Amino acid sequence: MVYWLDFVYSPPGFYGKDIAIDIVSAVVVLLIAVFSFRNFLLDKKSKRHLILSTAFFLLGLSFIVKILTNLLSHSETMLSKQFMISILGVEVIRSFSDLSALGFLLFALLTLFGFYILYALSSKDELSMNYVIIAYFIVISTYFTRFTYFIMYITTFIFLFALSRRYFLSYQDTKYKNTLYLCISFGIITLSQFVFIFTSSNPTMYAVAELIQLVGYLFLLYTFVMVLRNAKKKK
Amino acid sequence: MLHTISNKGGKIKPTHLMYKANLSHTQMKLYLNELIEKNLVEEDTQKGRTMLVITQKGFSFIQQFNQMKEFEKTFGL
Repeated sequence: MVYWLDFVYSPPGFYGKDIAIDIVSAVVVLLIAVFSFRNFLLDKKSKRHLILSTAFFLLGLSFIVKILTNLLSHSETMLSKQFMISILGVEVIRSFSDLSALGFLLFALLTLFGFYILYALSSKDELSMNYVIIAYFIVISTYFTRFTYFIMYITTFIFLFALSRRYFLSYQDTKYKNTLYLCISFGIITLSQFVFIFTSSNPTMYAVAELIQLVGYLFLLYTFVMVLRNAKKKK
Repeated sequence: MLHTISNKGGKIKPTHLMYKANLSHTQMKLYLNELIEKNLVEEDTQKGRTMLVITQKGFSFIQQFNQMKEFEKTFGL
């Protein structure tokens, strides 16, 4: 079973900064989620806008869960475990640990579903039974994340790599600049997931991964702004 | 229709709209009634001449529509 100490790899000097980065990432994805939902309200026949909005809402929610979990686990890590046990007792500490572990698993589940929906949406195919099977595998990988945290990052890395590749192919087809920006944003986020895989061996990698993630989401924000600017230019 | 009126500076004669939007008289009446009902367009009659004018709501609808199209293009929706 995973407990909070098993997956809190943030170097102590980076506490707080990682939460700030996740807040920025959450704001970016929630902004896109709200915008996409507004598009759905504008044209209710377009279910793809609703699905895209759901994907980004899930990602936003996953960041909120991660922020709350980090707040909990950082406060635990800052005070020594022995001190906490003497004050609160073993049972309370254990329930804190369980809560943090549960938070991490929920974060993993929401992230995997969010990125998977984005990946599925990038295909022109209709929804089929394959999606149900993949959803099952997502639940399975979340289950195994309890034992080995990086399973989640390997899965998100694969989803994001495939997603970035699809956006790149789409760019080659349409030569539309914003699609290229989107491909670059997701490419950077893919790299961050790759670096996250190695955080247990070197805590500095966690800080590096978080910083790469920040650059990825800021680039996604830039892409979003470019979409709005292009629309403004249109007559 | 909204784009056509917008491209004409937000104001157009009904007959011009009919030709520019490539619509029959019956079609135009039907669509125009809906646009007027939704407060996207209003009729402005001055000196016996009727003009169709886009409202503020109509302009912001076009803006939102353009944003939606750009978004669809970017994400390949």
